[in-house]
Amino acid sequence: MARAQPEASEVEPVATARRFHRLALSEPTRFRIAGAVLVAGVLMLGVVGLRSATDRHDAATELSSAATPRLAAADDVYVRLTDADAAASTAFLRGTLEPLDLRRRYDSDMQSASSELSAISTNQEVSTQAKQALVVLDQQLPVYAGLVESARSNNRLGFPVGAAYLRSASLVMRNQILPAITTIYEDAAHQTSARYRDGTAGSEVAAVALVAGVVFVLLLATEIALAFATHRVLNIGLAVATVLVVVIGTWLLTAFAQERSALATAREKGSDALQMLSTERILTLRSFSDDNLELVERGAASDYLPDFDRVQSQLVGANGLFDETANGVVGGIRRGYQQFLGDHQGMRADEDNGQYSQAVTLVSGTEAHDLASLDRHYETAITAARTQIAAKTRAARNALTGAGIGSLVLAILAAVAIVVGLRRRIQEFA
Amino acid sequence: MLRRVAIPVLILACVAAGCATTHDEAAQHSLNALNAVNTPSTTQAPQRQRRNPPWPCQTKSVNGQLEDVDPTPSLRPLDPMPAPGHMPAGSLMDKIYRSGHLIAGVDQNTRGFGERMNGDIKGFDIDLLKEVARAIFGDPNKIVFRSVTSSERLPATMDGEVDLVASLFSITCGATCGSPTTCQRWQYIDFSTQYYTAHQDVLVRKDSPITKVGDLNGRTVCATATSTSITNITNVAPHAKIYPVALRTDCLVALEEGTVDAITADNTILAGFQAQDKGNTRLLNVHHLEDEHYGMAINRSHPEFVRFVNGVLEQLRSNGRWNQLQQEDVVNVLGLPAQAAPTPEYRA
Repeated sequence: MARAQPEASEVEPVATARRFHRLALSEPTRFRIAGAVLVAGVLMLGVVGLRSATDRHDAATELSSAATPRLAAADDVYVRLTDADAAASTAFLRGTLEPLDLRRRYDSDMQSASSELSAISTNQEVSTQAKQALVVLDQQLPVYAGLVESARSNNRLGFPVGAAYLRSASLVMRNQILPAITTIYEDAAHQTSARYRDGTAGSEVAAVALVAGVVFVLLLATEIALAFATHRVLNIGLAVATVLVVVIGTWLLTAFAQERSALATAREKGSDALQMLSTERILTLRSFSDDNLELVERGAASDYLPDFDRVQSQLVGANGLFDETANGVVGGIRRGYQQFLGDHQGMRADEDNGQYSQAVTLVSGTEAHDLASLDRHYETAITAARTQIAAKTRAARNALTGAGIGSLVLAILAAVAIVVGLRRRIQEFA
Repeated sequence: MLRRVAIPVLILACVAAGCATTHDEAAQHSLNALNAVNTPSTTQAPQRQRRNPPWPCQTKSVNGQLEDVDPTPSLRPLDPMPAPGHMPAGSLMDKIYRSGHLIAGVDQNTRGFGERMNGDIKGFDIDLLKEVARAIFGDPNKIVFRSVTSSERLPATMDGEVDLVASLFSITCGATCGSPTTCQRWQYIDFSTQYYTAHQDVLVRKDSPITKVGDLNGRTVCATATSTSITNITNVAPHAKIYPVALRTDCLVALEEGTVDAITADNTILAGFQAQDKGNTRLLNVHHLEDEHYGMAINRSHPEFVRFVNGVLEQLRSNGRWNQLQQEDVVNVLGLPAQAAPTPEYRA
């Protein structure tokens, strides 16, 4: 960094050095002050580097080991419960003898939902609202399961009250359970967002760049002034300190850039994609329940078809979730949904033409099958998103490993180099 | 020199900080979608227009009390009745015949009258409707059943969504009450002659302390929304808290789950509930509540169809089919005593 000859383009530093020279203080004093300022500067750089690298490292660690797993768990509970409701209504529509596979699906959905919920409830980071929502879930899930059981046993006996129990169960699911799990899910999503913001904050990067830049300029200025004062071209100590400051700045900024890009990918291809995909999946499962319940009720209490349309409007069309680029790559899902939508329209047409049993066959056969294959697409895409989250949050964390402590150590070395380099020159003045 | 250093430093800092703003949009979008679906949309039922000119619903004064004049008189049957497949041109029957099926609004959750049976519906209402289809097509199965809730019966008839409704639908044309669509239904739609007579009663849990209608004051009583039962029970137990439900069977769930203390409905409906909750319920056997006269509801712009249906009902009464169906669907299934076919009343 030290230069052999002043160049024409560097008039300013020379002028600065001259002004520095004209100060009333004696030369050794000036260089003592300069040395103190420089030592303070590099140490500050080390501390700022340590602080910001540690903060970001913590945020990345928190993301990879707590926030995103909790988001994924909340999301999975949501999917499981919606799927359980769909399984219950499909089984009911099939008649008095409940298909065993649907019964098993319902049971395993309910089990995994409750075990994941208890894992979420042990988490200390849960907000007050989410805690209240967990209490609601604790109370309402057994109520829901009880109503589904009553629906099931009455249906087996051929009693019409079975359908009324199924309706009540579905109301508990939609009016109590799903809003509560939405609260928990939202809480997890907001915490994840906050961690992403912590991990990618620009202020820390700016602080590091600023301190490194200022220290670098001061070092150069001191070197120039020293060169004029002592007629020696190179001060080894200051030169080493300058190199170290550049190394620290480059290391930190490179690590931050890597970490930020890893987190950006984790977010975009991971948790954003996860949230979009799961929401779509939850909404399609809910629309399938709508179709089943519509047929169970044979069109009475006609809130199911409007619900289907409301759900669909959240998925397709202007401002629908399918508009987002996050899953634009997953073509299978779009096609699968179109197929599912086609089945639904077929069911509606059958219903309008009075072909009730044909509509039942369509929904419990083709539509159920198409939904299952759409659901497998979602499963694959969601697994991929989860892998992205895990890999990229880990990469972000690794990018910062050692950067904080490393920059502090280098800063201390730079300080030592400054002291050593200046002391000899100051002694010469004496 | 400074510029040479400063620019790369700035660029590096910019990349690390993310000069493009980070966005929460995708995540927020999906949360918004979930919340939008969780908030149920409430649509107000439109106000119904009465027929014009108004249909005279009459009341008479008995011992200072205002009582309803018999609401059942309907239009006289077609004479002669057309043979199946030969419906008079321009009539609704002809239109139905050409469309290939009769569309009937029914309930599918009421034991004995209309209940779901492995994808099919059966019951007294259903069988009578099939007889109407037989009279039009010569085939009782050319019929599409559309399930309607109690409160959907009147609008579905008025809007022509169904050709007729048979769903334990009481013929009413009485004194004005808070809800004319309940107590003055003739003001909005036409009815056939009555095809069954029921009466309102109250069902409680077997261990309930409620023994008479007066005990319902201060208690929660379940009733189907817009049913005549609500109007009647508030007359005799004004302090009863009404718990209205959309579908009749929702009341049985509410009673079994302990949400309500009692259910009030027609004895026909309650007999069906008792059959589904064997031995756990008790009827109050109230006999002073209103008699309910079941009729088939038809849009008022089709008097020819009302006459046709009345003709079908006449035939069923006289050829013994009505008795046979009552025995199979009502007596055998619900254990209610057999009644004589109600005598049809006609307007002058």
